[in-house]
Amino acid sequence: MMGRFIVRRLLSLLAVLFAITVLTFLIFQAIPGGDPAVRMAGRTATPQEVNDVRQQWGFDQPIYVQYAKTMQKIFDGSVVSYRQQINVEEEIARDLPATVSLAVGAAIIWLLFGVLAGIASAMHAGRPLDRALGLLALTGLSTPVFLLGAVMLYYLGYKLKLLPLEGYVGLTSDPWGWFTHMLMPWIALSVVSIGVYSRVLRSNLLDTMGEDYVRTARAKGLSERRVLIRHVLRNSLAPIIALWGLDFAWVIGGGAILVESVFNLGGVGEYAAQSIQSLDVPPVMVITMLVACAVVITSAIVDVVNAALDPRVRLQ
Amino acid sequence: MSLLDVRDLRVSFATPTGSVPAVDGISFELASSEVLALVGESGSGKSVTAMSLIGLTRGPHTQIEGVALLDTHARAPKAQERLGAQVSAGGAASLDGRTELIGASENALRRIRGAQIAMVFQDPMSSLNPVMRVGEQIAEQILAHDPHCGRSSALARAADLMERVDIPRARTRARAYPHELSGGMRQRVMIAMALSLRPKLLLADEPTTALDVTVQTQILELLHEQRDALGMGIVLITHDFAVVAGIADRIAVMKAGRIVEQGPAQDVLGSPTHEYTRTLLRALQPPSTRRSPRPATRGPLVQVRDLKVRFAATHGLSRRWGLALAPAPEQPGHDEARWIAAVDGVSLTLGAGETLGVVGESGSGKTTLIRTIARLIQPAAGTISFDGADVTHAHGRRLGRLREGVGMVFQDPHASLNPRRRVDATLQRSLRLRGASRGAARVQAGTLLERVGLPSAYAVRYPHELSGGERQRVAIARALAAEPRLLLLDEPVSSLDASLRLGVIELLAELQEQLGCAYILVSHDLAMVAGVADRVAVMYAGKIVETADTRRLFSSPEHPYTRELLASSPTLPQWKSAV
Repeated sequence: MMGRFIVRRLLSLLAVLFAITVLTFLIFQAIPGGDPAVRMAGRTATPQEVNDVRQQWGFDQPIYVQYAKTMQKIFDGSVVSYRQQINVEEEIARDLPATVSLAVGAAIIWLLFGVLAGIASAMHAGRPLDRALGLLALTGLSTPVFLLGAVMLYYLGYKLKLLPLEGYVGLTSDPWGWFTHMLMPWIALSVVSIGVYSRVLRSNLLDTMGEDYVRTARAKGLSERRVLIRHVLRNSLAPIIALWGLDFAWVIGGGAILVESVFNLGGVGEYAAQSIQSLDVPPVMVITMLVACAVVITSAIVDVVNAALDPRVRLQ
Repeated sequence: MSLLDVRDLRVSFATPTGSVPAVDGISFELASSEVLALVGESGSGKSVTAMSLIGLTRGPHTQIEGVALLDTHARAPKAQERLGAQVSAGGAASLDGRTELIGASENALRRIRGAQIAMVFQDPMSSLNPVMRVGEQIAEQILAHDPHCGRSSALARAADLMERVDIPRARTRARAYPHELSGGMRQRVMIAMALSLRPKLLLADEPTTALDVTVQTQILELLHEQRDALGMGIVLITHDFAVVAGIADRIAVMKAGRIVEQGPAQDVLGSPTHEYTRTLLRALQPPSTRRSPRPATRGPLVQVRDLKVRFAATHGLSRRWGLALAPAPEQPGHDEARWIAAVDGVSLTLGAGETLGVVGESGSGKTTLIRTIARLIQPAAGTISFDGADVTHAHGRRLGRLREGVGMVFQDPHASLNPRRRVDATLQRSLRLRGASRGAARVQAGTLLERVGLPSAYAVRYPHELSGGERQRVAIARALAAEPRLLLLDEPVSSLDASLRLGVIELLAELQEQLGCAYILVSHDLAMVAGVADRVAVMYAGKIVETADTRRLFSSPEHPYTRELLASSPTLPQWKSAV
């Protein structure tokens, strides 16, 4: 049952990935008016450069050839930003480790603390601890990341000198340096999500606690802890996991650009922002595809995890 | 010494408008191997009583007072064998070897729950955890009370228990998830779970209400058997005297949190002393509003020929409509049948002003049949004609005309009335839809309310301000708004308390007399159908197996399935002959 579900999910994943390549191509090359070669070459290009771009990308040929050439260039890593004469994919490969480190670490932190705070709130629903956590969540939600980042940098980095101020250090070259450099960005990025996750989980848990099978579990004489973990939590996790997958993909695709630039991590988000500002089309196109693929792949993983948690999902 | 001794139990819930007593000072006793039935209508406090005994109603807004003593050493001589698990109730106050439940600490009570007192709940569909295999759910209870029992031996014991409650191929089924089992099987799993530690006391809260009649009988027999085998006392909670008649030794009748009458079963059923008990028993009597069948004066109103409706087995309509169509699969995982024939070649004719009863168990296709006649579901094959015109593929204006001629009343008036709309708005909307002016709609809404026996002041109420019976009257008024020539009634009274049912049934009969519209009445309640319908069609697995004049069907059923259905329908003994 589970195996068949995974195979089905993988097949539909492939179909969606193909659709993404077509849509990205259409959005960037086919739908906008004017000459795609001029757009790709950038505003400062000479007529000769524009002509070269037209040749390389096949813009003088039928649309399916254009699509094939575009995909070929993206997949063999030969997309070049003509403005700066830099290979786009090498640039992304250089920025990705910082972004992935940020996403993985922060996602673990916000999932862990979000779930813990959600459970604590639900168990004390309506009592002082729940109110306090609710207030805290609201505070976290409404604190701008750049403010929180700046405050942390000032106190933890500048005044107390506990943590390094900014920049990214590779995990393989210096694990401890990597960890200390990432700690503040992780916290800054997690705070909002911890607030959201704890509140969503709290209300899911409270809904599930009213279910008949939870009453059955209590009538069986199970300890309150076991009722909560085996019967309530497992049936409340699905929305949290779906949310988690989307948020994670969003960070991978450069969504956490504020955190990336406050701490000067040099991640994918910063690169995307620079490219958009200078109307540099090739990197924007590649990053768009990266984001879309990250979202689709993580949501496939989320579906498989949810199917493992709930056998009824496997039937759909 | 009795097994359970409850004295002056009081439970009240704090609400923003003050404290509401749910149980108001009740006392009763129960001996080992005895079955006590707590009977009462919804809201009488019977479930709260049972749940309070094991502390399931405890909470910041609940106040529980009184004494409930459980004899933790009691055991009927017959069942004096080695117990699966020895559980002591340490930490609870003991009086002469008995344990007090109401004041017991949560920890002490937890050790009693499931081990000494087990509970079976009403709805087996929702009472099992959907994401755990049923064998594990049973094993979990064993492990909670007997930590020395290993996981694998607990699982083996779970399978044994499932075998003992007559679940075929128990070893395979123990690995099934709840959604892979039928309702009856799930209730057997619940009972296996409840029996897993040989409890001294079983609290069974409406254990058969959600099940089909043939399954009901089996479950009651199973409880009876296990009572004898284990020598446990049973508190059986039900609203249905017919269920009680066969199994209870004693009956306590509850009303508004009090026990109004209690005594040996045959006394309470045979010569009830309290007026309320008599009312309840009378309400159970099969209604008889049936007239002698009238010869069809005009041509048939509805003609259905060879109708077939199919649903995808695992998704699509059957899921969206929440119909329990999928038959219990042989093996866990039901990919075998991609399509299920919900209605499989049905033909029927209905004369103008006639009442046709359609009976059958859940999943037999009754509801799908009438929804297809109203063209809410598109048939796969066959024809439907209404008033001489073929409407099988009618659409647009012609479908609108059909819908105007057909009214529908659904089972659950709570779910089928818009909770945010006042009664008058609900009725006026239906009236306006068929072209009444604003002013006329207001007047006619008043007339409709009067017609269904509701005071005109009810026009400004919201559905939650009405009782179940009143809501169903509003639903009927809404169905009548279009002055239909055919009313499709889908279990119109089965969600109502017995004392309210009769009123709604009489109303329907009266309205038919006045308006002359035809009824198709779908129900699993044979006694009700017997009292109302001119003719009855028996459905089984999507087919009509027998159609006959009501009197003939009940006196000399021809099809074996009809006979089985009639035999297993729970009725009080003295009425068996009356039907």
